[in-house]
Order: sequence, then C-alpha cells, then structure tokens
Amino acid sequence: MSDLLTVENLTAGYGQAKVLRGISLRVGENEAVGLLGPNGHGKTTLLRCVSNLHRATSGTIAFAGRDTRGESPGSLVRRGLVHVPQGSRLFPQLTVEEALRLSASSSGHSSTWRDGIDQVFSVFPKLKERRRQLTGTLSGGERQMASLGMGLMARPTLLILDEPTLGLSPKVKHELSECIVRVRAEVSSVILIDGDMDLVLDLTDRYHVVLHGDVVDSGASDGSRSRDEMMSLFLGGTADGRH
Amino acid sequence: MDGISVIVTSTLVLGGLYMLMAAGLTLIWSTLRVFNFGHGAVMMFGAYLTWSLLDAGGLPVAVALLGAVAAMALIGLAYEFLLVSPFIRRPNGDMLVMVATLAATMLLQSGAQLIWGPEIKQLPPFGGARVEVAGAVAQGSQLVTILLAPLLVGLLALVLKRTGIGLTVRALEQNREHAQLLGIAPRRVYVFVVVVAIGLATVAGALLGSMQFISPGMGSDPLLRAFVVLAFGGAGSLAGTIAGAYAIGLLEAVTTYYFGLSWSPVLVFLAMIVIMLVKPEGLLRTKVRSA
Repeated sequence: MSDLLTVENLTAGYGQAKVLRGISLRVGENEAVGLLGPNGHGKTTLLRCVSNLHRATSGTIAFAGRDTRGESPGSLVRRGLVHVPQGSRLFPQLTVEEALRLSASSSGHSSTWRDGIDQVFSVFPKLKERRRQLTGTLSGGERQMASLGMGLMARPTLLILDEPTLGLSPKVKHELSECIVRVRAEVSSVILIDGDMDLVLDLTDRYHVVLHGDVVDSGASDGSRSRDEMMSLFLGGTADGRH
Repeated sequence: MDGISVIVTSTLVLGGLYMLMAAGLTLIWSTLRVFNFGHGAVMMFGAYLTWSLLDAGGLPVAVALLGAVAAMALIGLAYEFLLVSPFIRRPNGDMLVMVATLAATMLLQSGAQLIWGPEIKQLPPFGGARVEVAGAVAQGSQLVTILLAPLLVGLLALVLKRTGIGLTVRALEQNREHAQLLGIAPRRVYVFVVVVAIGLATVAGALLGSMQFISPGMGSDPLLRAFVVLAFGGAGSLAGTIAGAYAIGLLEAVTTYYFGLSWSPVLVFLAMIVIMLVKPEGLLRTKVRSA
C-alpha cells in the first residue's frame, strides 16, 4: 500500500547467465531493509536493476507508486531513489567539494547545495577537512564517506547502500558504521547490503537473505534468528528445516 | 627572416590549428570514447560555409566565421542526433559510432563537392595586422591563429574547470556509471561536447581556408596531425593537448625546414609510432594529470 519500492518477480542476467530468478521485495516508507547473502548471488544485480543501470528480463519495479520501466537513472535520482554503488573509485580528478556539489546539481538541488554540504559535513566531519582534496587521493574509508556524502547531497527518500564497508580495516569500518547510523537518521528509507551481518542487522528493520537469485529467508532484524542459523542459511540454503 | 624565425612562426600557427582540432577530438574521446573520424570533414565544411556567407552574404570575414560557427553548431546537433545517440548505448556502441563518423566524412565531402563544385576557393586574410618579434614575423590570418587558438582552447579549459556543465563533463569522463547514478544525463553532455568540438573545428577550417585553399579533402591532413597530437599529449587531457599541439607543430616546422615538405609527414608519424611504443599513455599524460 504505502510501499516506497516494490519489486515483483524480477528476473535478470548477463547474457546466458541468469542471476535473478523471480525475486520479489518491498521497502516501506521509513523502513530500512537489509540484504544478506554470499557474494555472487544477485544482491548487487538486484540493486542495479532497481536504479535502472541494468535492464531486467522480466518482472516489475515500482518506486513511489510509479513503474520505473524505461525511466532513466537520472530521473529516478530526481524522484528520490539514490544508489551509492559498491566500491566506486569516485571521480579521481574532482575535489571532495566538487563531487558533493555535482551530486546536488545533478539531482536538481543546485540552489540548496550549501545547506546540503553543511548537513554532509556534520555527518562526516572528516570530509570537511578533506574538502579541497582530490577524491583520487582519499583513503578507502574516506572515499566511502565521500560516496555516502554524495548520496546524501541528492536528498534521497530511498537510499541504496551497496557494501559501504567493503575492504575496510576493522578500525575504519567501525568509524564508518557510526557514520552510517547518522546517515540512517537523515533518510526516510534505506536498503543496505553489507558483508558485515551484525552491522546490517543493527541498522535495519527487516532483512532478506538472497541466495541463487531469490529470497530464501526474511524476517525482522531483531536478532530472533541466531548468527549460526544465518550462517547455515548462507551455506546450505535451508537454515533450520522451516523451508 | 632566418631559419629560426620561420620555424617559430610556423610552429605557433600549426600548433594553433592542431590544438583547435585536437581539443574537440579529445573532448569527444574522453566522454564518448569515440574517435571522431568526421572531424576533418567537419572542419572543411565549416570553411566552405564561412566562404559562402562571405561571398554570397557579403559579410565581413569575422562575422561570416561567427555565422558559420552558429550554422555548424546546428549541424553538430544533427551529428549527435543521427550518428551518436542511435548507436552509443548499444553493445559495442563506440565502434558503431566510429564507423558512423567515417560515413559522415564521405557524406560531407561529397556534399561539399555537390554544393560548392570543383573550383578552388579561398578566404581573404583575417585582417592585415603584422607583428614582428625578434625577427619572427606573423601577419593576417597567421597572427589571428596564433592568438585565437590558445585563447579559445584556454577558454574551453576554463569552462570545464569552473562551470556546472564543465563539472558534469569531467565527471562523465572519470566515471560514467557513477555519474549516471548521480543523475547526470550522458546525452546532454554528448550534445555539449559535439557542438563545442564542431565549433572549434569550424574556426580551424576558416583559418586554414584563409591561408591555403579550400577543397573537399582539406580536412584530412589536419585530422591526421590532430590524431598524432592526441598520441603525444594523451587523449583526454586538455593541457596535454595544448602541449602536444605545439610539439607536433614544432616537429613539423623543423622537419619541413630541414628535410622538405615531403619528408615532414613521414618523420612526424615515425615520431608518433615511437611515442606509442615507448609511452602509450601519452608523453605528458601523467605529469599533466597529477598537476
């Protein structure tokens, strides 16, 4: 009903390789949904389809009550669906401030980019120190912060975060997780993928486990399912005989 | 004039012409990932249009050039609409666009032959000013080329550095997928880039057309030289393009002076092959990029 995002029976792939096999998903208003599961099972492809970077073979996607088929990624951004991609090397020759400003202007918020940048700097104080630095010279953690900051600059109603802590050291990861908590507070709805299961369960209201291109388990992220159960789900696909 | 001053003047003139051509090619290359084979033909067409506005319209040469740039900007829109956008998003789209620009070369050359006929044309010099610095003399169109080319390309660099559309162009160059995720429409950038590149080529065509003759094939030599400039300067960097244009201008001026016109292209292309073997990313690429 008041779903912000509805994905139904989506199939997609690359050439002969089928990646998504009729996956369905919904994200409500003011809701954070986590996607869990091993690498290579379609989480990123699902998100690429949602933001129209990759064309699904069949199935439907609706955002804010409207079918997104044929819509450009840019138009989705201006409607509030903002995707922070996995491991982006950003724009090596742009400064942090240029990259943030760019995100504001390309999402139709050029007149209020200064307010946006203040908000981003309050969430990521480190970016303020680095504002004149080229993004190509940032450390991995800082680059992720810039990437998330760019996402915030677009004033999302649904923010998609694909592996924000990928490849970071535990210390940097911890620092970034704190930032993500603050990002969560600024945005209505979130989809979060991350290899760190505890982080995902901490930050989201509901979770889905994606295996072989479909959802094999869903539930509230309140810790009702134990970590061991989760892990065996990842490995075998049937956690505890309930499926 | 002694040898050195002849070489200095022609280095600056050739460098100017080549940078006008190569700047557009670089811009198109870095955003569309396409080498625009039609660039020489576009230059030629611009020269003819300037001539028509001057001859039939009776306009002063500078005004005729401005008119031609405006008309060519429209042709640039058509170029993007017909040759780029139908193909660029397909698999291997860049290859298709490249072939389409080859076809455009044929079309524009035959078109020019049909419209303007086989008689040779020439534009009058752009003004009669004459400057002499330490024995090196530049006058009329030479002088205008020496001054205007770096001015226009410098202006383009400034637009890329300081304006919103410039920021968008640079973002698309550096990370196309993430740029799209930010909401940047590649199409708008393509239109901007193609129109600017064609405008600069038109200026080069009119300047060359006032120093040499205008003919349907006049664009091929400058196109090939601009290609060498890209190899020298590293495609994708405007500062590298400017430096590369002067380097090729100098090389051509020196080899022409000492070995003659027929040996010069051989030596220029030989130099290009050596550069590509030794430093395929362009001679100045890394230095310029990190600056």
